[in-house]
Amino acid sequence: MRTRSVSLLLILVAVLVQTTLFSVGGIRPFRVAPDLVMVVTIVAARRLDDDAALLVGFTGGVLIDLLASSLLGWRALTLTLVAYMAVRTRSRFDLGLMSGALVVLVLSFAGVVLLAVVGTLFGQATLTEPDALRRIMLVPGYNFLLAFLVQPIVGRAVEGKQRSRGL
Amino acid sequence: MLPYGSSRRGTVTLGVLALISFLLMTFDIRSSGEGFTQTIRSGAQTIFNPFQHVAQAVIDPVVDAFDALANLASLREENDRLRGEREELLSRLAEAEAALVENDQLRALLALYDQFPEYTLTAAAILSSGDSFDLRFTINRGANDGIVVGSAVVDDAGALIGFIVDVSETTSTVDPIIASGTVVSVVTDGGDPGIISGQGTEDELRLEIYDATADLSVDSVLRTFRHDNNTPNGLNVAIVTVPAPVNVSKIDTNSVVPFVDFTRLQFVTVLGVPSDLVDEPTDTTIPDTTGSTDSTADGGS
Repeated sequence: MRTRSVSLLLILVAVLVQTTLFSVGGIRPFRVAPDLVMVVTIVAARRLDDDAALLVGFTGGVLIDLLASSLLGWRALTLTLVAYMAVRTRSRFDLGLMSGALVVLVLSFAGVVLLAVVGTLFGQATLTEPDALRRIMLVPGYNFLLAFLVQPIVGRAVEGKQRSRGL
Repeated sequence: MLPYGSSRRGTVTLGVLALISFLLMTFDIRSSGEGFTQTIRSGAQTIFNPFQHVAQAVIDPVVDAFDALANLASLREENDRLRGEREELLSRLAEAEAALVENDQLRALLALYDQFPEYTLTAAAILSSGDSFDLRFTINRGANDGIVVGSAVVDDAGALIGFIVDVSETTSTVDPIIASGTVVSVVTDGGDPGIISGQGTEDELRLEIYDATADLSVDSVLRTFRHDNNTPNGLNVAIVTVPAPVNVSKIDTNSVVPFVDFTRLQFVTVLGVPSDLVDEPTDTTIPDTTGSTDSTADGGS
C-alpha cells in the first residue's frame, strides 16, 4: 500500500516538474524536452505489481493531458502501454543502474513512437511535423540520462530504507 | 517470471485502462474540448495552478543557470558583435531578480498601451506547456482577468505569438503560430496578402501567396492583415530568410521564421477587444509599409 501511495506521489511530482522545468522557456536542449513522467513511469513500474504500475502510468498520462490541454487520453494510453511494457520486461533486465537506464532508453523510444503514432491517428499530426524525427531520437536519449538520476530517487522512495539499486 | 494470475490481471487492467483512454480521446474529439472535458481540465488546472507557481519559483533559477551554460557554449562560435550582446544578456540574466523582470514587463506593457490604444492589455506569465509534441502553452491569466477565446497574444514588442484557444477561470491556453494547423492572414511589405501556417517547429513557417505581384527579399517582414476582429492589422508575424521569387503568380515557401523567439519566451500580453467593438467590421486598410503611420512598424522582438 505504501509503495503504491509513494509511486503516485512521485508521478504527481514528475508531472509538476515536467510542466514547469521542461515547459516553454524552460530547459529544452535543441528545442526538445525530456519526458520525465515517462521515465518515472518506467522506473516505478518495474518495482510495482502489475495493477499499480499500470495505474501510475495512466495517472501520469491523464494529468499531463489535462494540464497541457492536449487530446484527453492521448498520453494516458501511451504511458499505460509503456508501463505494461516495463512490467513485462522487468524480470529480464534486473542487473543495475546502467542496464536500467538502457531499458529506459529502449522503452522511451517505443513510447515516443507510440505517442507520435497515436497522436497522428487521432488528428494531432505529430508524425508529419518537421521536428518529429528529431523529437523521436532526442527524447529517449534525454530520458536515458535522466534515468541515472531518477532510479536512485525512486528506489529510495519506493523501497524505503532498503539499499536502492537499478531497475 | 511473474505468476500466471498476476500476469493475467495486469492484462485485464491494461485492457480496461486502454479502453478508458480510447473513450476519453473519442469523447474529447467529439465534444471539441468543450463540456465535460473542459470542466475537468479547468478543475485540474485550478488545482495544480498554485503548486506550479511554487515549483516555478524554485525552478526559475535552475532554468536561468542552464540557459547561461548553454549560451556560453554557443558564444564561442559567434562573431564578436553577437558575442558582446550575448555576454551582456548573460550578465543581465545572472543579475536579474524577479522584481526587475516584473518591472521590465510592466514597462513593456506601458509601451504596448501606446501601440494598441483601442485594446485592453493583460500581461501574463507562461505557466506550463506539454511535451515536445505539443507546442501549446498555458498562461496564468484566465476568465477572471477578462481573457476570452480568440484573443491575439503578443510579446513585449508587439509581435504576434499566437491566439487564446481555451480559457478557464484562472488560466488560458495559447495556440502559438508555430503549431501545426495554426493559420494567420498576413500581408507583405509590398501589399500582397497571403497566409502563414505553423509547421510544428519553432524555426520554420510556411508562407503561401496566391496573387503575388513582387518577389520577396531576405528580411521582408510579414504582418497580420484581415485575420479576424480580435487581431489588429500590422502585428509583426514572420521574416523571410531566403529570397522567394514569384512563380506563376504564386509564392509558396518554408523559408520563413517567426518574429518571436519562442525559446526565450517567458511573458506575454493578451490583446482584449472591448465588448462594444467585437461585432464591428474588420479594419481592411493595408498597413503602411513605410513606417510613417503604422504604429507597429517598429514592433517585433
